Amino acid sequence: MARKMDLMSREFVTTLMRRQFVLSASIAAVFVSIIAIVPLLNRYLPDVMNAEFLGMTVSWFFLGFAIFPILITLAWVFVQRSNAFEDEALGMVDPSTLPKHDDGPAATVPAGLGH
Amino acid sequence: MGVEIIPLLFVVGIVLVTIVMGVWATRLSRTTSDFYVAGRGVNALWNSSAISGEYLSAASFMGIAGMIMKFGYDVLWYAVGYAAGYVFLLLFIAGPLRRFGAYTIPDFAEGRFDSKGMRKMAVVFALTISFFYMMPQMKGAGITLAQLLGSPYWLGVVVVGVVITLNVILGGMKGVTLVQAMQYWVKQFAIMVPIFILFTVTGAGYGANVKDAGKLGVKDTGTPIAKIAVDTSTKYPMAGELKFTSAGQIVVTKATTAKLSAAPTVDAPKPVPAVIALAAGQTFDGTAGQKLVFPQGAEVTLKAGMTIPNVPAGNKWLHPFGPFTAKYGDDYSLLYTYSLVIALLCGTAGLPHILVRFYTNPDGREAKKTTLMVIGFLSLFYVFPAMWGALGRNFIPSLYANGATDLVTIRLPEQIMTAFGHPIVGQILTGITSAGAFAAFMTTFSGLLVSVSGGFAHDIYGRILRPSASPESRLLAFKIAAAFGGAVAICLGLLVENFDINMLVGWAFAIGASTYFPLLLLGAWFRNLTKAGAAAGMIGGGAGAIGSVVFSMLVDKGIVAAPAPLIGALTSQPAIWTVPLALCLMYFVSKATKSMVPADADFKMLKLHAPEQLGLRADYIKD
Repeated sequence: MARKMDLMSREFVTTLMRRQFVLSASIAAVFVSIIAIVPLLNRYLPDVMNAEFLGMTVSWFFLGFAIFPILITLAWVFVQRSNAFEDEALGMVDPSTLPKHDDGPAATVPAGLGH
Repeated sequence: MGVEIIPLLFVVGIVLVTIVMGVWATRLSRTTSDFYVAGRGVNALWNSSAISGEYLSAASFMGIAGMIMKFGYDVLWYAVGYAAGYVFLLLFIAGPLRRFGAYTIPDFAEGRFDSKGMRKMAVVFALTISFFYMMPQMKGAGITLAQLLGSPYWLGVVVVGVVITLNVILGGMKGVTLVQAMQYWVKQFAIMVPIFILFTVTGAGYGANVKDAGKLGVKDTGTPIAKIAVDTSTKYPMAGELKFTSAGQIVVTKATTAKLSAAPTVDAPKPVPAVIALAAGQTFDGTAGQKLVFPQGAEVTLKAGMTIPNVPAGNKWLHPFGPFTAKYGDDYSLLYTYSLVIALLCGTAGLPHILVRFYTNPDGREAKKTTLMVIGFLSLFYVFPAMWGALGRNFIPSLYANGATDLVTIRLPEQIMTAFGHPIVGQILTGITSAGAFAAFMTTFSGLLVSVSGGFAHDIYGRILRPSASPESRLLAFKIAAAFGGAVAICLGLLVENFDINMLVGWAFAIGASTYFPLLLLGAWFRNLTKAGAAAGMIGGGAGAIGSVVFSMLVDKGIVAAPAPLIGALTSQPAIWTVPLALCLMYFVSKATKSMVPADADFKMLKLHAPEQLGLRADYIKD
């Protein structure tokens, strides 16, 4: 990262949001395509989708089992990438522009942790 | 049917454990923050168990298995959609929502647009969705206890209503979190372990059962559908149909009218029904494919030897676009499927009692981790209901006769184990599933009650009526609101005995998907969203969804004539047009009211998306 950005700058918030959004949207695109294609395949390739597979049909197996590991994998990839990006984003900010932590709610210990 | 001691003991056990845990948790629950958000000190494992516990409702535990049994393949979308909704929540909403630091969605609505009016509107939708969603929980409790105890319907409603209301009043969110986390594991155990035992005992696995179920009733090659063994009296607690699978005889117990339709043929695919009068004691000889639709309260006896009615043919059951999605004709089954999937995917992100849970995470990163774990837990749960449905179709087809397939998870273990000579084990397994079902009603209801009470006490009393109220008086307001909300829920529960569990849940999802989901999605990602745009979208989407829901309910009850099939499909599953409508209204109205973009929109977006380490967060709820 060549130059540090001001925390309150339009540039920082735009960069932050765009990067996060591209990540979310690209995973959403994969996820929505997988979900959306199933009814179409059911409609237009019934011979394949209704073929017997492990006793059930291909389509039943997909919705009954196979889709769940896919969901978990996509979610896991997102969390890894999103956290990695957030670590990176911390380094993009000019530290002198961070809010002072001598008062205000951000600096207090979150309520309830004292139990 | 008499009292079933063993299952009843299991139900009493789970209710007692819930009470004891709730009371025990009160010792941990001292501050306002504890009551609302469990002190925010809830770790990801605990919180994700609690979210899963809260989410797995009567519809998940009983409804999906029952509908799979009744309709087959198409209902698998419910299991997938209920789990996959959390992916949207994770990708677009969980992190930002937590980071914004608001406790409820009304807090978010006010904070995002600096508008008290937006808070009021959000409260109204939160309460509407919550009360809609409470009704099916109550209904599930009523019919399950009635099965086990032979008790009247109201008893189950009152028992669950009173126990949970007391729990919420005493323990608040922290007590509820403990109980819900525990009950996720109860439900997971109850849906999973008995089914493995049943597969082992019957000697046929999941695949073999789906295969057999798919052959049921297919001519020539298929397995014949079972016949009624002894004369069986059947009551219609709500209007219901009796479709003759093959020729058979029924005797009418008390005089009634019925709508009779002939079997559909190629020339007349939609026969016009005729109203006939049936006298008490009259015998009716039905032929294959003929259908009688009875009004509520009708009673008939199915004569021994007739094939069990209402059983869909195997290929209709096994393959996509069966009786569920093709309700409005095969032409619209694809449309119906997509609309259902949209409602489920977007509706999860619009349920107030689930969203409120994201504030119990310490930070945005934990919120994401929690959601990931929830997706894992729910995936593990949702592979099982379909197994129950397939096994139920093969082993307990008598449930088809009066449409009681919702009870498959309760009745199946007893039925199978008794047939294989282990009645006591069967009673124990039914006890386990009954306890799981009660855990489902109680957790979802308590989550909803916390969210409703929070809505009254925090949003209406604490922010609108008396912003200067002390923490003590807010706590009192929360308790009073919980008592009031519990009482209202019990009354509503008593009214819905004649409605279908999944229909009620579907309404809540459709309304959530058309109001809260667009608000949160665009609120978090579209900088120039204005309050006028957000309001227009929520009102437009909400009106479309609620209007459709009311319209299809009136059609269902025969008050309004059935519309053209396309309109029927679009009103009974409205999400396919109401969600885009709400999103478009929000976008275009915001474009037209650019001057209303909050002056500090950049700062609001920064708060939503910046990691906590940058020190921007300010929580709404403080001690």
